[in-house]
Amino acid sequence: MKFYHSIFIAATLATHVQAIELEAITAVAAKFDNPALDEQYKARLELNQLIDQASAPGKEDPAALTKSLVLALQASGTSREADKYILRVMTRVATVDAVDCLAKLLNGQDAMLKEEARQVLQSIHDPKAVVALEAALRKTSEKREKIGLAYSLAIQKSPSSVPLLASLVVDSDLEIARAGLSALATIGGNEALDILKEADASQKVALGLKPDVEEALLIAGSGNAGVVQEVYQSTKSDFVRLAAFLELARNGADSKVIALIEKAVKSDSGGLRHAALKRGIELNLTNVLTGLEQGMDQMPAEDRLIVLANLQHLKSVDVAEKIALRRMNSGVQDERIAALAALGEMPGKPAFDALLQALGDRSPPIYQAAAAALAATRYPAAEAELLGQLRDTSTAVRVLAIKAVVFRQVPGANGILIEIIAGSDPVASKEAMKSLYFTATLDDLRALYSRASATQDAEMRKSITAICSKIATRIDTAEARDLVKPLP
Amino acid sequence: MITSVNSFSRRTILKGGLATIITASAPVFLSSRVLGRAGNVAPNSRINIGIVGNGLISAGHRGFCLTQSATQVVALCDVNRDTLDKAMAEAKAKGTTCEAILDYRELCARPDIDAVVVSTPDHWHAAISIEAMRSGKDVYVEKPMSLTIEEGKAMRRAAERYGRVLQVGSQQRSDNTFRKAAELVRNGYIGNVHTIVCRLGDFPQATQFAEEPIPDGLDYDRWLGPAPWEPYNSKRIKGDYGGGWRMFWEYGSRKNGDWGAHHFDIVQWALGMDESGPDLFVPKGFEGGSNQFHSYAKGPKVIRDGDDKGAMIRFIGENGEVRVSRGDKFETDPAGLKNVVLKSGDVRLYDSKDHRMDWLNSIKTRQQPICHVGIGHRTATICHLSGIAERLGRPVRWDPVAEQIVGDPVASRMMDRPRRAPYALPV
Repeated sequence: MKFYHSIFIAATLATHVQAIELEAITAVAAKFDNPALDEQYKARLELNQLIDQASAPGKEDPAALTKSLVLALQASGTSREADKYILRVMTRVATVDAVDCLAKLLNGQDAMLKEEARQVLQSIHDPKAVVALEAALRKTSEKREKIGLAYSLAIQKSPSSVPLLASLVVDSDLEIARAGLSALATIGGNEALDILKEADASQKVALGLKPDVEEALLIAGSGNAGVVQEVYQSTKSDFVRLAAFLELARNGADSKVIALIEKAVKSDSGGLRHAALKRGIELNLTNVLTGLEQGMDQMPAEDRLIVLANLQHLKSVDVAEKIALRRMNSGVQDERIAALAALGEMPGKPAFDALLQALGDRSPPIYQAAAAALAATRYPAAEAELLGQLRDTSTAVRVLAIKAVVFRQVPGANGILIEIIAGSDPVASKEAMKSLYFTATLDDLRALYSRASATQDAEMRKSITAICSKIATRIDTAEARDLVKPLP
Repeated sequence: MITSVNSFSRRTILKGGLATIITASAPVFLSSRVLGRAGNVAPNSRINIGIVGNGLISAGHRGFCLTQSATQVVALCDVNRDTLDKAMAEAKAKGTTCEAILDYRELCARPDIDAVVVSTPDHWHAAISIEAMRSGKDVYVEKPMSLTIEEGKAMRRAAERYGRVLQVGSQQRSDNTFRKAAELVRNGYIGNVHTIVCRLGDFPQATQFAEEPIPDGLDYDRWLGPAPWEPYNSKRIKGDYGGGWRMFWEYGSRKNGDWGAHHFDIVQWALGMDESGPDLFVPKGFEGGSNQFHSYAKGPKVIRDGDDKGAMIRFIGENGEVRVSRGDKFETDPAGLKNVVLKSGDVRLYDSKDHRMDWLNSIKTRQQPICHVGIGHRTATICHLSGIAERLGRPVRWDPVAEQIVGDPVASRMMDRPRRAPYALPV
């Protein structure tokens, strides 16, 4: 048979290692002819395994392996299905030795194999592969092929492809033009940049493509402040302007950037204004801070959320605290939540007091936000203050402190909670039971249970025993369960 | 088509042209009254949502977005007309009138959409997410975030370039029990962690299905998108937690990208490795090993499907264990450890009560959500490297700083996959 004959000749010409691989490859390739689909799938797996073993570090001879795969592809007896999977494994291992064979497939009539061959060529980082891809792009008139080839050339990142890709930018089909722009943006470099600038100024480029040209310019010119600045000033696209702004603002804090941010804060584009606000606060720009102090109330509600979420960047803690405290009076729930989160980041007593106050709010989202902020508060005296408040004479103050210690574990608090439970204030006692349920350790449970045993008040003994049982269930150890026995 | 960026398209509109009256010496902020707005609260504070991919996994997202007062679903998109019709009927039944769109690019081009949920099969996550971000939308994308490591890098670049919020749907981060488990591990309550076992399970082996006629109303070419061409069969595209498209490497990362994307994510969080990752990935069967594992340079070995003691994730430290699963299943050794309340100096992890709500909050505040693009990319990288090692049948070494595979050119080529024309990845 011609097929096996050609394999035999090829194999005898190749190295010993290559011959073994070729033999194995062709043996697996033959399995793709099996009409049973399961067997065909197994052949795929077998081919993968064969190639992966042959290409393992230390064992590999990529050129020899590629030559074997090429020979298998060229053998007249291999099925189209086998060719397809040989090409797919080649995307992982093929070297420049495959380019001639792949170029033939790329220029052939079989659309499926053309597409597979393109993908292999794209993976071979060699000028010869680039030449093959460029030649195919020059020749084809198919939209799908043009887009695919432009993408492959983008992956290759060869400056030699720039003039050819430039010709796509003026294509009347917008998808082809976009593929060209995208490839030029990826390749970058001065030549690509010049072409993109020209396209930006050209009347030949479709109007609907303008933002894409600007975006490509921005990507190709990334790191070049002059280009980015130019795009920022000239674009009419909000998204391109925002991207340009972010790059300029991220990479500098000189007077030009400061002026840019201060101007952008007044923008009528929400995205740009918010980005500018965030960056202005991060950089503590004087004019922005003055605006915050003087104009917060007049700002749109969504802008105030941006401010509150970034208050931790302000160098002046007093100003930050003042702003956050003021927003606690807002009628907008989101704003109060954001203010509470900000207050949790602050070290001042007023911030701490506000958090404690909010813990008593009736709205679940508000007291949950207060609790989360309290758990992490940076107020250095938080724990000492909470311990003091647990002993306060006012029930209201004590109740808030009792609630707070659930979220902010305070050493020594549980002992006081046990005292409160056994004390004479029923409101505080009930609240302390709730808190202790979450925070009690085994030792606390032991202490609480001995209070229950010691008390003469039957009602109190009953309630303490009940909470002890619940705590034991939560702790869920044999020791805890054994500790709590029904009391008379 | 690219249009405009509107963080809050219908909420933030300031009257055009007024900005021109501002002088350099004017206060930095405009009064909303000056701008012609009566109050501080915008008339419509809802976030306009588009959902791309309305199959199996999208039901929860769609249900959430259709019922929240903070959101307004304005468009649903799917390549399958039948799937789309069912989703539209659900929206209608819940009192929402929205547009049905077959091509995600049309949805991304709508200027009134603020945010996009991407709940397609994995092979479409990157392209749609990037297109949405470059069109000014914030994104919630199902896990794993990407199909390849290079896609993840591209998504991270896009989020940074366009200033977008991207939340990855690894929602175990917003589960109290997983957070508590991660906090115990992070704060050393079980001592130095040397072993972690993650339960991933397995999918059936993929196979070749017989070709069937493509049903009317299904754009099968677009369903395949960048994935290699294969003949249509309903089983290939089926959304099925036990198989379907999830069995195929072409559309997902099999179990590493399925449960792995959840559990490896919690491991990263617990170890404080969100900006880094493991450096060695070893497949099951290598040198007779009975389990796949990966390991961190200075830390533990993470074993897939080992002795999990009945837990989805089992952290084993020198001084104890933490075992955590969904459904608030949480055990520790010693048992009392699970009741530990963090001390004031302990690291407290990001506390999110609701993963989707956390995303909405981030959209409003422009802060990073709990599972942002950088975190999602690092977790997906672990899934993909585990998959590469599995497919190659050999260990893969990884440099988590340079984000490159070390010493294996073939494995390196697998950091990305070829894309079928014309489905290129946006820059």
